[in-house]
Amino acid sequence: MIETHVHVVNRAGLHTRPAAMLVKIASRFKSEVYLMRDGFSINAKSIIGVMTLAAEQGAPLGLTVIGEDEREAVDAIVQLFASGFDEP
Amino acid sequence: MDKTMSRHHGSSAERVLKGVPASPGVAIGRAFVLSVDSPTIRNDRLRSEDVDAELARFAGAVEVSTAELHRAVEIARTEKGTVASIIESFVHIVNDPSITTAIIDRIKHGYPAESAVVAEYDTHKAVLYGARDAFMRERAQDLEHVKERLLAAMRNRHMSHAAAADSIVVAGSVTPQDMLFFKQNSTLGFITEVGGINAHTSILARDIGIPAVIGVRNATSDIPRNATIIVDGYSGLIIIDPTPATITEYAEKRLRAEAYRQRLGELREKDSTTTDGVHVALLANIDTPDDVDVAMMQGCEGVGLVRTELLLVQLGRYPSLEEQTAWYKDIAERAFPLPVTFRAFDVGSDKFREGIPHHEDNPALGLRGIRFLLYRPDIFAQQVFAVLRASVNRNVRFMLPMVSVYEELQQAKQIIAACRQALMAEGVEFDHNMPVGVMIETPAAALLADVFARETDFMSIGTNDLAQYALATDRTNELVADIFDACHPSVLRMIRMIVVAAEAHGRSVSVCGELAGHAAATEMLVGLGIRELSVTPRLLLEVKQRVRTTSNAEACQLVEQLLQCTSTLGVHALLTGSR
Repeated sequence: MIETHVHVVNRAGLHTRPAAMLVKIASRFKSEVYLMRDGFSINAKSIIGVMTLAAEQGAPLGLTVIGEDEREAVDAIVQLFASGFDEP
Repeated sequence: MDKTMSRHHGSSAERVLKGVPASPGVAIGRAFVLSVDSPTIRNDRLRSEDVDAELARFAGAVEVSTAELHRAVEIARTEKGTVASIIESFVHIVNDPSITTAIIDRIKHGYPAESAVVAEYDTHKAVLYGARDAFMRERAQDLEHVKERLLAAMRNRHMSHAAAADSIVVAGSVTPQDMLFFKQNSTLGFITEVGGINAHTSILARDIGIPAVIGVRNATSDIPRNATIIVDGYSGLIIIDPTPATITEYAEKRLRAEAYRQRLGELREKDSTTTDGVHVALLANIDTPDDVDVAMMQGCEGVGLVRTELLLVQLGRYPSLEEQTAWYKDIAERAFPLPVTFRAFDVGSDKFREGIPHHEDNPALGLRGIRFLLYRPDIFAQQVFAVLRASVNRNVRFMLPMVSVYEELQQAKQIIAACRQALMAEGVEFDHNMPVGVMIETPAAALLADVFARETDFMSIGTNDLAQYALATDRTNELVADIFDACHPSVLRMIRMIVVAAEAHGRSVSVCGELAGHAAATEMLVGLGIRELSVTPRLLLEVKQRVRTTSNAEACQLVEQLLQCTSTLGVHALLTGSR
């Protein structure tokens, strides 16, 4: 299990389109992927879960990944958040 | 913004509706009205032998909707922008494992498929409606669209996209995929009853360049089928049965608009920076919550001035604490995370005189701005309470109008401090560090700018009043109006003084008067050291264009010369010469 933190850097936040990108990437891995906010945890392979985090710009999120390819999954997801989902 | 519903065309029978402009442009065409379909949702329990049929109906709806969305993605790939990825995300929503499992679970527990879908989607929508960020709240619309399509698929209803080529679609709401299908049939514009300016349908309309007006209540019943209509995606006006004169007027407007759009459209995403790398923040002056959306569409960096007295003019009376708080919160949330500056009621000017105790021979020199607010501390304190309550997301600033002497600032700050104390005692959440600034619009305040810079968080220059008081000229009096000019050397020297004082105390200073929106004055203001301009939203891109072609070094040289001018004529000669 790997636990770390990610930040939303793009201006519009983790809205529908970025949520879909995240789900697409997370679903490539066998590991279970969870995002946490304010003590509330969701499955990052569910777009509705990700959307209902309503994470705006600057929001700190906990990231927990459990499984055989957890290292690769964490790297890919951290990278995705850092890139701002290709948004300004 | 002008909210009038009548157009002055004498005997015309044309009618005008007003909505929120969501995608710019002008379209003239025939109304293709889609009646609003609001089916009743069964809430009775299923018999156990019907469960399998309902499960199959739901699975079928997911399959049909997914196929429809895939078809839309294919069309969307030919469009620029984010269209295709928006629709792809809808595929993810329809097939989301957690919501699908929950819906199947509900059906197995005896819910009819429709009510299971409604219950699950509405639960998640409620969570998004509770989001702090306005943009995030509008994502609830995405779930609503998917829900509607699933319900339609279960009832075997398919929207007809077979509109004629010159049609304007009028509907309760339009999903992004419907919009694409309509566009393939050369639809010219969209009018909807619901929707937000940042709902994906609105974003899509802007991306594919089709004019759209949203939030037109009762559009589907008020607009007759096949009527000739004009959609003005700039002002949000819809004209039904326009006269030939109006059609000609709008046809010309459309041509001008297309040329303008091409010229300025790409500017929206670009930085407001001079050729030598000086950033000049472009903010918007606004009067209503809807103006925030218009300003954000033009790519503003914040709201530099909310003229709160417009609320008084609209209501014709002083609002209650609740009314004010709701209005300020709406504006602050729509702009979030961008900053918003609320200016306290500037009562006593020509617009609103309610509460002034008696006739004044000389209102411009009378009980106006902060003077009135200190005369009526009850009205002032209530506004301070409302603004503080709206500051909870820390993007709110508060500004005092027409300050001329230091004591006014001191007294106002005491009242604000008392309001803070009272809210803290009540346990209300607000921004304890909400910046408080002053408008500099009297020569007295300009000459004491160092004092005000030291004692406030920011300053903003109102150039019209500053010039009127500096030149002792009423610009609406035609006998002396020619003396009035916001570019008079005396005004420029005062602006320079204010900037120097602000810089010495590390304060920001903006210009929010008419001069800021005057493209010819941009270079001069940059040269004077102004780094924030607050202008009416429709001028934002024009001013940005000017900033991007200005060199700060050259502007500073120009200003050295301007400050030596003896008259307005000399200033204008240099300004035209520099271009």
